[in-house]
Amino acid sequence: MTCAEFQRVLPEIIETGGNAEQEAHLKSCQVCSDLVADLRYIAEAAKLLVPMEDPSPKVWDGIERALVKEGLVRPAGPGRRLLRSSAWGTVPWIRMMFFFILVLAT
Amino acid sequence: MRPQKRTLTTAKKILASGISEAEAIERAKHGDPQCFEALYGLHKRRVYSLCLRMTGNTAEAEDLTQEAFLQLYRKIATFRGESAFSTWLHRLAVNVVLMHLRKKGLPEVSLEESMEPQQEDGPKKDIGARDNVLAGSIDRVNLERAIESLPPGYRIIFVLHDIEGYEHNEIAEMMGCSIGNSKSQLHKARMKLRDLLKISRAEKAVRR
Repeated sequence: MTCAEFQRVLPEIIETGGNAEQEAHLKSCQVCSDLVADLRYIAEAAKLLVPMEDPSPKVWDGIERALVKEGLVRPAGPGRRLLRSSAWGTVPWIRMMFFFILVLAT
Repeated sequence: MRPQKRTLTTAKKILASGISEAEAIERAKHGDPQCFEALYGLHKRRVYSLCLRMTGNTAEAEDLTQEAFLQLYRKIATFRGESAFSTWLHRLAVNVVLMHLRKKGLPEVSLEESMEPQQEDGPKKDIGARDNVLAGSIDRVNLERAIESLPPGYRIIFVLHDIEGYEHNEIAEMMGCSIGNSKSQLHKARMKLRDLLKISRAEKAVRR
């Protein structure tokens, strides 16, 4: 097996391993062996890359603005956090009203 | 502008007060904004890093992070707990980025496969001693820089497979390509990174 033949199938076999002929070439060929070692090392190093950066605070500001604009939350006042919009807030009150009506009816 | 610290404090307070992430998710599903903010605090870094690595652009990554969390707010009620929340959110973020790239008209799978000079397709014939291998010589900063300079199509596949851990069949489904294509693009991405890292190492050696 030549290096060209081996490297042509390398994308398919690098993770799963090759057949006997391909493995034999890998064991006997320094160039292809070094290549595979490098590619596997890069893949392993990539797994260790942990998320390192936070987005800037303006990302959350943008989310807040969009949620307020869509009417899903009420705008936060100074020193206050996002509040549930009145539409969200009435739902439990409606449920409580029905409960009391049911209780009174019985 | 909300200071970063207050968002983190909010997230920590909610969880420190005995509310688990699972509880925060349930409450966020019912529209609790404070719990949603806590979830943002917990997951923003990973979502942002994903967006940044896939786009290579800070401004785009921030816009996409914002969009991912807005979609989260709209869709969180549909989260059934069949997978881990972080997995579900992660997949949502990936879809947001891919949708953005499709709109931009960027080839998600690099067309450079057909445009590369023929000699790059030939067998690698590195001649040299064993110390040409990369093992032990890559640091995180150089690797991140090299990933950033990959062509977009290669970068996306590399990020999805080697960093984020998606399998080729999942990538093929997301990207609308074949499994073979995904493997081929990943291979080319790694080969390109190998070249970039060797150049970087050689430059460092010259500077010493």
